[in-house]
Amino acid sequence: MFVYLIRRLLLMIPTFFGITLVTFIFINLAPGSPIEQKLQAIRFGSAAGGGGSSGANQRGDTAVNQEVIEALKKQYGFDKPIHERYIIWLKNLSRLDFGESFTYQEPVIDVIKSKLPVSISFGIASLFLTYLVCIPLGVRKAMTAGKGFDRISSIILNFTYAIPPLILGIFLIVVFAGKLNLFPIGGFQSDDYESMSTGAQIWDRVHHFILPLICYMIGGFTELSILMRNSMLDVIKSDFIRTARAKGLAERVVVFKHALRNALIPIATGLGGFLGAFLAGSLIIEQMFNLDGLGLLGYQSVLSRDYNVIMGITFISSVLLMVGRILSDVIYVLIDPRIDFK
Amino acid sequence: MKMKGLLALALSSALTVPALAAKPNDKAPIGGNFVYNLGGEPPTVHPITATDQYARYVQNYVCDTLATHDYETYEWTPRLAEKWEISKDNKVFTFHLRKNAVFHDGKPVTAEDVKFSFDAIFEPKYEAAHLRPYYEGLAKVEVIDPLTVKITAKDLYFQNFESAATMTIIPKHVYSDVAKSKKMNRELICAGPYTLNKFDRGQLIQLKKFDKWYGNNDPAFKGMYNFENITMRFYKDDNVVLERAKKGELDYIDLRIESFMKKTDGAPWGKTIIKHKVANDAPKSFGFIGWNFRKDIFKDKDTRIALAHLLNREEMNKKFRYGMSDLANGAVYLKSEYNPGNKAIEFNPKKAQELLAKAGWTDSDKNGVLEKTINGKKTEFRFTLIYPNKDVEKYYTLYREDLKKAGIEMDLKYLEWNSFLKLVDEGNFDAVTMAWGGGSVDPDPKQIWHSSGAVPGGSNFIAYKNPEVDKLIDEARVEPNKPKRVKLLKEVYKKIADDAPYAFLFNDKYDFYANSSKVGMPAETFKFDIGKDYWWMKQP
Repeated sequence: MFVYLIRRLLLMIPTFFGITLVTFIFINLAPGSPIEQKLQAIRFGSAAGGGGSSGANQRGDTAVNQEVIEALKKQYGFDKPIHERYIIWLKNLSRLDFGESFTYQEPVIDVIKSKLPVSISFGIASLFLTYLVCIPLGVRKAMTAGKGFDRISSIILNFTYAIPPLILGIFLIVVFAGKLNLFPIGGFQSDDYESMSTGAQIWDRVHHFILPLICYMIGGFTELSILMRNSMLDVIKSDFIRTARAKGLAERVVVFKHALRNALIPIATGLGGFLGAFLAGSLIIEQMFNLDGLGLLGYQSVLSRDYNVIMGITFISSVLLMVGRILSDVIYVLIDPRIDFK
Repeated sequence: MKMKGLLALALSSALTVPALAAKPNDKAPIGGNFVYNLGGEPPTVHPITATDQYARYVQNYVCDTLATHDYETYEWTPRLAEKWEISKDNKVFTFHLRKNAVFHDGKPVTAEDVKFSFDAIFEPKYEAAHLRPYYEGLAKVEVIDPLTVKITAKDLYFQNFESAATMTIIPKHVYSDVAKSKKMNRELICAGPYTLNKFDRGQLIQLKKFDKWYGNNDPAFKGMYNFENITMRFYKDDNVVLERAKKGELDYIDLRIESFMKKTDGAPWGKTIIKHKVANDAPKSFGFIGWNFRKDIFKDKDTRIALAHLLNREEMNKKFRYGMSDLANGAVYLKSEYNPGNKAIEFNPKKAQELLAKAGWTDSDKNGVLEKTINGKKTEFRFTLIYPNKDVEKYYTLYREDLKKAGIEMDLKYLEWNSFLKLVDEGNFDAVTMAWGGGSVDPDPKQIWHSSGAVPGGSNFIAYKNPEVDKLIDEARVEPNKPKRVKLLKEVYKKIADDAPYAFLFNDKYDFYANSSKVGMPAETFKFDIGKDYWWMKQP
């Protein structure tokens, strides 16, 4: 196992180079570099950028002169060829310096850090709630397979899986936050959050988070519940469960002591992904509920060609993903001693 | 739909006639917190490096300029400068600063600060290359004495004074330390009527009335900046904005025409939140289809006019715009004094057919598509229209059908903004649709219509070249006398409209917005602006 882990860790290095190099090349090949974004602001006024509506600039000159273009290139380091820029990026990365965001004009790491509270809240809450709901639900569905509970819950799960988060979001906002006034319409916390007591602060955050979290998770229950149900059904049909029942063990003991541990193996594969929870985010939900998270940041960075932020997010998320995969393997071994990666 | 429209009109408190001269309310109470939606969060509010419009909205309250345009008359009115002189040759502007103008940290505003504000833009360390084109007409700024500054222009361009007068004045003692200033993305120290109190990322920006602002005790600013606090929010989603406004969480929102007509009926609309449809003279944007003059099929004027005659704007206006737009008659806002008053080209397929025949387009092979021999080659009338915004698809689906009936095949191609712009810059397209913003009350057509703009990265991407237009634009740009300039530019816009280089679309007739009933206002709109700066809280 130890040798296997070392091998996997070493394999991360070429994988990391592959991911970052491909990303770097792609974003550089896409039309509209940060310089062009600035030039658009000069040509069309700052309203340009997708709407296709723009205002003529003040000076009314015919085109931005070469001197300005050169100055911008120098400003962003674009006076160097692409391979050189990639090497510079790697060198900086070795010092854990992700560079500066072109949009925010702050270190990328600070920009990403400022979005983490929303993302971590989303990630941890949804991970925790998903497992908390799906495992018991899957087990119950397996135990009542083909009967009323299983069927009705399947219908509900399929229905929730099919709801587009955007439509659900609008519905929740209009009905529960607007008409019934039970929840805030959006945001992460109230304006007077700082002056609240700790208990009130926790409640305030929870209160703000209920609607977006419903939106965020609604489709996520289905997959895991069905997976749990089917995994449980497979295990229940196996010989050792029949033996356990034949020994006269109580059904509860059979299910929770013998069957569940084995049925959890496929579910455990997802556990390694908990690291990804720190970078969770959803563009649609963040935009609708006015949450300042990583989903929106990633999207806006791509739109505004904020290369350093894109690369920063790519690097962090790929490292977390790779480490998460290795963790999944370790969890596998812990749950099921029969698995050996030698 | 008609009934609904009428109903909505009856419910709105709209003034659909241009307002009489609006005046501030001298007795407006001071106080209260005015909450309004910026529509997006500025990544930075740094006065030199910020590039987006949201930062500009913040700077309008927090920063100040030497002079500004009056909302009602558009005349220059004093701000940080109490008076100014313009030299006889129109190249030197001497501004005399107020004695009592101070920055938010209490330090006085001096001529040194004005000089620094200009020099910083051209100092590479500030990385403000994007601002340079706006000030390129100015050669230098000289300090005469602590309260007198001389700004010299390079040439006679008529907007040089505008560049000088509207430059944001920033404190040298704060921003001259480049490294320190670059960290000030969420701080803003200026000399405007409001101070930036708080900038919570993702949450809000809060401004507080600056108690030492020079205008507080000046009768000229009576009835202006009446709110004690201004809170700016960053909501993007339309539905969310409407819900928040209904809940009383926003005191001002911009409305889209669809929202105005469809989503603003019934309580609380008309009670706690009031919607407005106002007409004013602020220049309005116009959409267009631009024909690429590099392509042979668009080189003939009759063909271009025929294409405009096939654009059923009357129907589009009725179907998609609730009849609330004017048909643009050219490249300048319909109500502008620079507008030559050309008749807008109406939908007229018959006339289009005549013009196409006159231009030599025929369907001799009876395949339903017109053709013409151009440069010895038989060319069918087919082209592709590229666009960066899916909202316009419905307009062009309609247009495509009318073109088809006339024997012209148009393909529609949607492109992501940056890819779209790449093709536009390369001149690698047949026809393009976009919109130009309203621009300045005193427009300068050079950027879009002068032949020198027909270069990669230029705004004359359709490569329209008319030597007469060039000559008149060049004359007008250095004509300091406004009536003479109006005359010259009217001629320019007339020639452009006659050449039909674009098929012009619409000018909006109205601005739509809503405010909470807590807010008082002297008028629904001023002549050149809604005039939020003159609003107040009824119960501060």
